[in-house]
Amino acid sequence: MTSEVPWLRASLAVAVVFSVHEALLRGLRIDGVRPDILLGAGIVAAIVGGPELGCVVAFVLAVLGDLFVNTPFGLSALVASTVAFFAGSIRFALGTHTRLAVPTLTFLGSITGVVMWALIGTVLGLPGLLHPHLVTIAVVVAVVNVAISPGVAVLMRWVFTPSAERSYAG
Amino acid sequence: MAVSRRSARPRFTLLILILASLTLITVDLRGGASVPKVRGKARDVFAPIQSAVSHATRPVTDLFNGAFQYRQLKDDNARLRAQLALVRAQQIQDQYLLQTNKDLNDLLKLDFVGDIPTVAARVVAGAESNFQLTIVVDRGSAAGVLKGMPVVAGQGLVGRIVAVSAHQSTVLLLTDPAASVGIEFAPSNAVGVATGQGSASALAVTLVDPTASTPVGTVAVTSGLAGSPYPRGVPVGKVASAVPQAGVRSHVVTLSPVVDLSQLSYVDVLIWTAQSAPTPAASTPAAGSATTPAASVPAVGGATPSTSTPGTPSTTVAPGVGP
Repeated sequence: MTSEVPWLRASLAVAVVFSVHEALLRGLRIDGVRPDILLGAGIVAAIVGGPELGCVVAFVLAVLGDLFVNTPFGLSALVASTVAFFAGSIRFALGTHTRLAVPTLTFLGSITGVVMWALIGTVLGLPGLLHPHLVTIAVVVAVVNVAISPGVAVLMRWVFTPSAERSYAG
Repeated sequence: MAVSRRSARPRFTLLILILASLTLITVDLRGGASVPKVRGKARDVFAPIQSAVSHATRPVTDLFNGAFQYRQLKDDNARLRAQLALVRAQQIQDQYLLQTNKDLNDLLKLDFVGDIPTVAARVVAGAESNFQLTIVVDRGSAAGVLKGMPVVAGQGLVGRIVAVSAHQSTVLLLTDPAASVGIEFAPSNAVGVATGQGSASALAVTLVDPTASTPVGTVAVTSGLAGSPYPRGVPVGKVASAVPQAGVRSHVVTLSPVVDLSQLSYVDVLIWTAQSAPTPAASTPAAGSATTPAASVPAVGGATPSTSTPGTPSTTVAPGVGP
């Protein structure tokens, strides 16, 4: 795997996405919700680059994001890598000619990720996560991730195209 | 064979990542010092970049925030206009109320900071997560701030420090579900615990004596009982309503927080921890206010998931802070 993956490009992409999330979008709130493009970028990475590589990117992005919050360290990584893996698996099961795959799977994956985070967080003992506002959080996060998904997809194609072509392209 | 390896390897990778995540979660939840240390370092490293980018992109961010919050701003505008009219009408009455308020402040020790040293801090960011009600302030361990220290604004309690790096700290707001504070209603000496309920719902307060009288307008202050992470006498909220519960003598009481947690720009961190507090005997609270035995009061604390006791009255506080 090491020889097939352009780790330098992947690292640059991770740095770009993370910088945008933590610096540029830090103060942005939509209906009181902070966009979570780290989750969205991880999902798009899996859709573009395949479930294996995508879930690694999602894991790294989420771990970086977890450094800046006070929720359990690794929880976002667990959720993001799992959601990204399944989004990537579904994408490649659908074939290569589905134009709506990226926005659709990003939307569904983001909603699943937010809800999954709240459920696992509740299991871990975090109080007050399962409330009506969770719907707003999930929808806002999902819509923003869909909005940024074309740009992230371009970035991830730049990262993964050589590897993706070898592994998945028919 | 090649196909089998290709299909199995991604699952193996996912399994490794899940195990890694669970290990990180376990290490964090077991309370090791390494995770907070790493987080603090990361924040310190990234803080200058965040500040620079935030400063450069503020006009754009404000534009987006304004666009996304247009409806709220419009509502706020209408509400503030109505409030302004009301305030003008009450201006004369306020002269009298000011004097009354001063007297009450003396009685209630609303000069709550007293001789506790403070560190003024600017709020530099809102909640970092959609699942925690926190703010980030621009003072950290370099300014003497420690984890657990109380944070106040002009009128009263804001929350307490839950994470510290060299130049930034994270404050868990009172309204977060993981936050709880021991309170005391000044005239009646009724004590209890106020617990956050998040932004959409309200704070819940459990009273030690469910039948205690808590009239509308009563100020609730921190009780500061043994082990409390807050010093005594810091205003928390005012009783907005007290509704009797059917069939029992207790009331469901509603509090309004004294601090608007959605409009914080500057706060004061009290350089005070429970360990540094004087013993109850040495603290000599006002006569009549220290009669509640500490043992009868539930443990209060900041970030522990918790807390309300079934069957006891609940108190609600309009939070006004988005997650």
